[in-house]
Amino acid sequence: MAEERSGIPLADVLRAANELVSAGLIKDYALGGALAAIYYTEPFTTYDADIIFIPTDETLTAGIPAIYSHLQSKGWRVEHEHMLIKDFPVQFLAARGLTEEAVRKAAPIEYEGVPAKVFGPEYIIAIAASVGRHKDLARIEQLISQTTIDEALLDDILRRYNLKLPKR
Amino acid sequence: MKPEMRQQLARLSFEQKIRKVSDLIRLSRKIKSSSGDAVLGRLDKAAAELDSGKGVPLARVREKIRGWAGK
Repeated sequence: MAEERSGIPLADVLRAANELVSAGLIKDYALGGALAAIYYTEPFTTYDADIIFIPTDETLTAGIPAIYSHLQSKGWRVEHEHMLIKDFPVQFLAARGLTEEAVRKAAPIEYEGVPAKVFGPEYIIAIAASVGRHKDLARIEQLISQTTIDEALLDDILRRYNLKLPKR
Repeated sequence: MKPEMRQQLARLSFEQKIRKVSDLIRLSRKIKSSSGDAVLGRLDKAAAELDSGKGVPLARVREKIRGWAGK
């Protein structure tokens, strides 16, 4: 369906990520990046989805080749650093440190009947602070003004990972 | 946009928000392709002018610039 192709096939993405867990190719995952922020804020334009996963394979490749070939067997295409489903780019990123903790503490959600997990707002803020691009700073501002933040948790994460929020 | 309106959008369900993001993607693609069409239109016009002898060929412009730079 042409209209569907120009939209975000998020249910398909989450279903595929769940299959990767069932197939033992990844231990766990959560939705991160802009789409995770949108779970808590007003919608804004983004052109890809970030799936942050805890690898089963602890070698340097983090099992990415096996993940890619599994998804390709299901009709996904590879384009640069993305995997494409219905022309929508998805990035599979191996979690470590702060992002691994964010996956482990992610909030369970259901999207169009598909169970999934999404990063908590405190973790999205901390990750944005660690990256520090303009769009990350805007994301922090949006999250702080549009959702309820557990300040004690945020302070604890920032302290443990030696991060600071930008001055407002 | 007013902060109250933004707060209202933030309170939509995730499914509704994703539909809105999809609309934004479609809109931005439409704008990009229409501005791309405008650039292509201008290039077509310039090429037609060159073909009809109205324009100055790029090679001639380069020669001129080389000449001016040598002065």
